[in-house]
Amino acid sequence: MDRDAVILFFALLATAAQAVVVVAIVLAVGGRASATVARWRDAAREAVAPQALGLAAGVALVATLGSLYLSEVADFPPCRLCWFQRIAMYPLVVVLGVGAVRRDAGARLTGAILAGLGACVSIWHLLVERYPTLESGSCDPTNPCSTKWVEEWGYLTIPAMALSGFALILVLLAAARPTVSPEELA
Amino acid sequence: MTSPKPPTDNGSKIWIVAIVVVLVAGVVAVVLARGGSGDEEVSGQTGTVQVGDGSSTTGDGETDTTAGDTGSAAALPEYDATLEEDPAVGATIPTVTGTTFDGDELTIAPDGTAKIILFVAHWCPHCQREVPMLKAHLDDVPMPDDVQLLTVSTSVEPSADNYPPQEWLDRVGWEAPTLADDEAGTIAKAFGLSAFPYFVAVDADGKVVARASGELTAEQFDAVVAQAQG
Repeated sequence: MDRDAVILFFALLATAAQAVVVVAIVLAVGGRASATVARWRDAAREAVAPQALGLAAGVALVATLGSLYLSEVADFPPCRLCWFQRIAMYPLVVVLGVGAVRRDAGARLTGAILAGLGACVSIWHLLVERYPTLESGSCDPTNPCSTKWVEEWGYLTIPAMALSGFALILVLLAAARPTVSPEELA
Repeated sequence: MTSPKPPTDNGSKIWIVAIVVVLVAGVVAVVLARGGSGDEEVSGQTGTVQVGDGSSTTGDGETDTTAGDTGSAAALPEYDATLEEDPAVGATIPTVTGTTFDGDELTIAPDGTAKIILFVAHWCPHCQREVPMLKAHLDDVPMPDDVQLLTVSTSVEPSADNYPPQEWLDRVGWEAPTLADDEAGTIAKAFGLSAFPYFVAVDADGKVVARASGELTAEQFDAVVAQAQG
């Protein structure tokens, strides 16, 4: 498959994720000021909540497949910070997937911690890309984290896509409502 | 008394929406990317390199064993910025011959002229900052007549940012003669490159007087030039 098409595909998905995150933030903030927006927020949450863990697992799965495609097929070697983001993203597929099947409330906290840590690394990686001197004054010839292997629309680099995925997972986890309590599970 | 609302199948709808979004993204990506790849290889960005007076490498870095090495200066040790004394200082630089992006032959050798050799990689953001800064500085304070500034473009990667290097250097207005290293980075290895950007200051006797890596300020660059000048 054409590499440019695949990269563009993941960039479009990342953009869609960003749009959802922005809408969620607007609903969350606007809901505090406006009763109408609060109703929209509650309706959206009502609709998404039962599926949120599964959707978050799906987002993690797509991000994981994208990450593997970029390194194993497109031959973009993952840098040190990419590996830290992988460490956060890959387990989310299992943690959230199993949590969705078992309707396990505990998966929300574990997932949120992993996604939060991953998002922090993504933000640092974006800063290193933008300001390379934050990490070093020179480029490691093998694979510096400041190198942009992908840049769609002037801003969507690989850590930006990862951050979009982590942010969407966090939004979905915030919307998720456990249907089975930990006590019931036990 | 109101009857309870019938259960709605919101779960299925949400999954259908998610799948539609993924499918639409796939179709749009295929249609938009049909225009062709943006990182097609441009000829001349890597060259055929000859190290010493005989042994040569092809563009893909394979050594041509039909030519004999006549015993010119050995490769410089890899630069280690943490060492107080650079073991390469005082060593004679190896002779390397290759071509510029336009295919003209260019040799870097201990030829009686002091020189600064700047190694850059097009994808390296530090090089992308350093080269325009040096260009602006050299417009104000040109290189002294007795010190030559040479560039080696190495570590070329067509899939990476800011490719091709020739276009980048032309865009910046970089005028120093530029040697295109081969895909294996033979010249970079011969000069002990360990990080980008990389500077080797050579005196008129062809001996290394200083090496540096990373972004240099204009003042630091002038100091390196002065060292080469003796």
